Amino acid sequence: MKITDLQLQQYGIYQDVSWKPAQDQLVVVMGENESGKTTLLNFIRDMLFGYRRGQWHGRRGNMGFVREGGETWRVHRDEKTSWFEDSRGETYAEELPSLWWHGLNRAMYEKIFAVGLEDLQGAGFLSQEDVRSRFLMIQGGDKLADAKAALSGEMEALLLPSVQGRRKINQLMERLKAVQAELDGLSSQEEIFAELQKKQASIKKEIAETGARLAKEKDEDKALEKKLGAWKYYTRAREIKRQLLLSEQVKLFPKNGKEQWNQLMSRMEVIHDQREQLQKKLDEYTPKAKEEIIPWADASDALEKLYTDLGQWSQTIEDLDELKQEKNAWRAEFAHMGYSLPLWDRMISPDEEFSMVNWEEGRRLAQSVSVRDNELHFWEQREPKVEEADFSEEEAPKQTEEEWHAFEEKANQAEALLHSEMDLEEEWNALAQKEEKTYTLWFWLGAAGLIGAVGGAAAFYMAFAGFAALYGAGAGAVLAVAGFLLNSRAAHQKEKAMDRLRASREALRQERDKLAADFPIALPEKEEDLQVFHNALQQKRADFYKAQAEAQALSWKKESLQRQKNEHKKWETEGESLRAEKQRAADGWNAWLAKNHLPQTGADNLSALQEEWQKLYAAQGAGKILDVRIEKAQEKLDAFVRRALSIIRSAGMSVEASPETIAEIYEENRKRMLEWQAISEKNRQHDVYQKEMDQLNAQWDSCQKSVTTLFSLVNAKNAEEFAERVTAHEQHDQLTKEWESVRKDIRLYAGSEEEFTKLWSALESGEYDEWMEKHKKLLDAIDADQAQLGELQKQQGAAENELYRLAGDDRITRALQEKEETEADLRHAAEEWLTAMYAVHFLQKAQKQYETGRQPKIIEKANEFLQAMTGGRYQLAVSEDGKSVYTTDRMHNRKDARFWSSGTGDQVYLALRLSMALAFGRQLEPLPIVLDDIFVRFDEGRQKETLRFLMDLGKEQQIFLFTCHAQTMRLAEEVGREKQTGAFVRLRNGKMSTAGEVG
Amino acid sequence: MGKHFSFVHCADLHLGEPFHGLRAGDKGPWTEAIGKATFAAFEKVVDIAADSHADAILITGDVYNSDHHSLAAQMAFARELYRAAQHGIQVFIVHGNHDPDEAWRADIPLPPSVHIFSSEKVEAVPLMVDGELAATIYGVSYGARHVKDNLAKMFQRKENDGFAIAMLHTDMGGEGSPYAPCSLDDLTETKMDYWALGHIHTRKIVSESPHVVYPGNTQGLDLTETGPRGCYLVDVGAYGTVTLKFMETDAVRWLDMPVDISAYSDQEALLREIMRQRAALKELTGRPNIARLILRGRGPLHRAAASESGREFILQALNEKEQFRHIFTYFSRVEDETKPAIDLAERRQLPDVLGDYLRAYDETAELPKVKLAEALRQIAEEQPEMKKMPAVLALADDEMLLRAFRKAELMGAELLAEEDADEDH
Repeated sequence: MKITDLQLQQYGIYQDVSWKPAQDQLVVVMGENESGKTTLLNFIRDMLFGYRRGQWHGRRGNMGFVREGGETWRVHRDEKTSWFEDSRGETYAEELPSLWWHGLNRAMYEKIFAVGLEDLQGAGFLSQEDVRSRFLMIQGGDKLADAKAALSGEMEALLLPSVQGRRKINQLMERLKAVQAELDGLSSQEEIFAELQKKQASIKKEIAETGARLAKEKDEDKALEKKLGAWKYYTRAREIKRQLLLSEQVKLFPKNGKEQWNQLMSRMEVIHDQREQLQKKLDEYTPKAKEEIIPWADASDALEKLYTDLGQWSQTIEDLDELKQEKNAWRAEFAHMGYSLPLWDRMISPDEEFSMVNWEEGRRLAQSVSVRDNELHFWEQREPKVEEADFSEEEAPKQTEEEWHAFEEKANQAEALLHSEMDLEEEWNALAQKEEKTYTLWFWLGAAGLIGAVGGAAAFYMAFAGFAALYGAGAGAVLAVAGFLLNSRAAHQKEKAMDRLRASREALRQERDKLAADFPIALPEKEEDLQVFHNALQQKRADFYKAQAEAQALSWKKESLQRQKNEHKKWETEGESLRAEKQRAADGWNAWLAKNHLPQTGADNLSALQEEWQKLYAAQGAGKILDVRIEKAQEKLDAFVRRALSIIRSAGMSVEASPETIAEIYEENRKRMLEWQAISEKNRQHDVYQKEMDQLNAQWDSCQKSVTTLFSLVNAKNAEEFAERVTAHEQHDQLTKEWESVRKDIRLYAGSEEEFTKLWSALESGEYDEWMEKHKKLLDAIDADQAQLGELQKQQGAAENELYRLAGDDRITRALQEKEETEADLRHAAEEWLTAMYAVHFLQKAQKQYETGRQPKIIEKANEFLQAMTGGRYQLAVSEDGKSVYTTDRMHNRKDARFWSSGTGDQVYLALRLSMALAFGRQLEPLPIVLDDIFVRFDEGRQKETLRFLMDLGKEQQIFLFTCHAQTMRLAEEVGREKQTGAFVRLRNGKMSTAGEVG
Repeated sequence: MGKHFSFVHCADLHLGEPFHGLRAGDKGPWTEAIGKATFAAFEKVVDIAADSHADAILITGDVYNSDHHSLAAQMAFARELYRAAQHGIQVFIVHGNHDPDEAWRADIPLPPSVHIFSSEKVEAVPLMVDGELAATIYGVSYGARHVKDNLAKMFQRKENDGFAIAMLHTDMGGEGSPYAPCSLDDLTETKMDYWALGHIHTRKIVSESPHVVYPGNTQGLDLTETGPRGCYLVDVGAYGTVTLKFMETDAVRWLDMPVDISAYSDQEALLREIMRQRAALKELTGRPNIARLILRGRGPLHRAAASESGREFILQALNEKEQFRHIFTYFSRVEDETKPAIDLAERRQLPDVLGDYLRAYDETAELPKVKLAEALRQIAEEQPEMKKMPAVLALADDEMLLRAFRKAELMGAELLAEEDADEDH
């Protein structure tokens, strides 16, 4: 749709203004503030969508436009009346744009097709994240997000998907659960009720049964009570009857029988009383035997005697102690006595036994020891002498005669050897002086032969001669060989002789060395040594003979010494036998000493020994006397103890036997004796009572006999029978009367003769105890049944109450209603939740569609526009998440919105808005685009570029560019001239003047 | 010539059954009245029978809902039967699907003048009036909750029956129904004179020759059961002429109150109008009412009507005023059927987000109904909330899902269109 003309008949400052804007060029309108620019803008919108509410007053105008298909229309808006008119002049009262454009209204138009200064907020605007994301959602994308958020909030207010959630649905679910639980509890009511009814029926039945039983029991008891009531009359009757029978048994009874009986009875009563009193006295005391008081009564005499001997006993004890002390003193003295005896000089045990000693034998043995000592003494005086001699020198080895001859022989041999050697020396010297001949004649002959041989051979080969030369050569060769051999032999003859001599000399020297080895004198090696050698030999010979004479003198002296030694040996043998004798005598002495336990001492000490022994023996004797005295005192004491012990034993005590205890027992004995005297008095009294008792018993027996006699008279077995019968006998008539009277009473009680007979026979059966027992049982049963009946009635009442309560309980009705209501609320809330949920679901779907469908196309177009606006400097692209845009420059540098300059931001924004408007218009119908002062932040270059772009776009799409800046207008005109397009209008005070249309 | 007699025919007493679809928490005189309504209705049935000296009461099923195990219901029933017995009224009962034979657990003894038909076979019981056979009553009970057999086919009248009455709880015409389905032909073939039916809650005289009658329930139970509810007083003349007279028994009446909002610019005015109409309603029904307010038309109050909080406000304002009235009209719900300001059909054509939204919605909405329900359930099941709390979704039947879906269209559209609103218009 494009606007063809505007007729502002009456609109704000405009009065009858008419304007035909260009349709295929950018329309630039410049008007300063208050010039009517905004009013003009509003006029276009008012024409399209009608005046705003209440703002129609005084407004008139119409607008012509051509729709996309070429259809021309005009809209008239005359205050409240408005109509549309088509090319055929047909008018339409309804708002056609709303029909054509599916309800597009003024607000939506402004949002899509109008871009104003207020929209352009520069790069800063786009760098705010939330604003940018809203903006880039482009044309309502933000609304989707808002709507989703609002609905999600509503959903959350209804339900939190957690157990702790306390939202409406959560709470309702909880409540429903609680009500259901209550209902579950209440639903058992009907079964409880049925149970109660059954129980009630059974109780009722039981009550009936118990009641019937009770009635029966009461009837039975009544009958029994009648019998029991009659019983006391009947027992009376029976008693009378019995007494009557008794009286009949008494046939003969003495007149004074009753008096006799009474006397007997009173007598027996007296005896009985006396006996009782006596018996009481007898029972009070039981006689006791003396042994019970003094258990040791048998030992009384012994005790008496011992008591008188008590002084003696005590004395004995003291004596014994004294003796024992004496003995101890003796022992100490005796033990020390050993030290005062020199021969003993030791502690002697008092227990050591000194027996009698045979001193005669001791004296004999001592004498024998003395004799032997003397003999030995004399033998020592007689010892023979032996000379001292030293034969050590003579012990050196002696040269024998044979040895001396061998020595001489060897000296001769050595001399001979020396001479032979001197001969050989001479021969050697002679040979050494002989000249040596190397080239003998033989040599020269050989040489000649050789030359001949050579010459011969040469002649042969040089053909001087024939074979003769050859033979001659041969002979010459043989001759040469023989000559040389002989020469050699002659030249070595002297050498061989000297070797032989050297060997001989060597052999001689070896022989001499062998001799010198065991020869005491140095052998001569030269002729000059021979004299010395001879002198040495002479010395040797003289020594040999002197030694022969000394050996003879020594052998004579050895013989004399041997004789002296033999004498001494004989003396020694005699000494041996004497010493043995003496030992024997000493042994005998010592043995005697040991035998008599005497100390070891010499035989000469015999008399001292005897004297000391006498002392010891006497002391020991005193000790023994003490022992005997102790033994006697002990025996005496033992006798006392034995007597005491026998008394203690008979007293049944276990105390030590001592004079003190005996004295105590004696004292006790004395006390008991006193006691016994009192008791024996009582015993005597008791015996007296006993005798009295015996007398009473005898009297009683005699009375008894009299009674028995009386019993037999009335045929009675005992006193009761006797009394009864006697009484019955006396009252016989009276009893007969009573009998009749009782029978009459019972008959009256029974009521009728028939009943009486029945009752009488029942009474006669005499089952009173049975009846009583039955009566008691019946009473118990009646009590029990009555209690049970009460209990049952109580139960019945309780059951009835409960039934009544249940019947009136309307809780279940209320709970059911509550459950129903809660469920209704819950369903309602759930429905609400689901509604919001579905709305969110479709919003999401719409968003997806928008993001994948329209948005990319819009961005693509916006990119084109931006490139065109910036001369290809910038390209526009959308980020991967679709939530932001960025630019890239020619160098492919990416620049996010926050780095844009404000001018670039506005350019991007403009490009996007135009792209959106075009996209929207393409799908619906392109509508005029209104741009209002969008260049505020553009520099001149950018303004020009954008104007160029808008000029191009304005050729296809009707665009109104409003501005209040003259500069912009100037630039627009400049660009218009350059591009050969554009329509330029100036506004002033509601007047329009066309600045010129370049196209 | 037969004996002239009369009887009361009622069904579906639903004693102790709670009222459905009420909001929780609104306490008032209605709380008490609602709890007693079903019982009061049956009391009225007995009153009617007694006042009109009827010879019998016929109850064709659903005396109470056995699922609830309500002892109170069983007690109330027995109490009324004793009262009927005191008036010498015989009572004939067949059990229905809600109270099958097996369900009476409280074992409350009933007076001997009551006959409950067996579920084993069709029984025939003579109705004696003044010692004469007035009619023969046939009947069969439900043994269990569901009876798929055609029980009507078991009935056959005999020659000397006098007036033959058949009692059956049935879903007549509901082929394949689990409630003893049958056809009218099945009934007419039995040659009965009067078919006393039960099960359908809205009264209906299906046929007059013979008489095939649904008396409806004695008390409306939810907002769909609007209008008077009651029983039929049936008079049978000596020659078999049948005269039916409908007697209202409902203690509380359900009804709808439609109001056009277009005439009202503010809520106060709207409320005043509703209250005026309410006062007239009481005059009309003469008893307590439970009303559903249905707001219709296009107007400035659409916003309020469309929002949950707005509807809540209206309800509270209305019910507050009724707190202390003996005969009240309690508003249980406000239905919003008002039209939005935006033209959804037009907006579908626009290439904007709202158009996108509506088109996305249409993609699903165009599915056939069954598939649509399936798709909606699937969408719901995929929500994390429903995965965590499937019990909430279990409450929703297909109808609810469809309702929510339909409402979602407008809900989303209005949110998206908010900024587009042309304030000047």
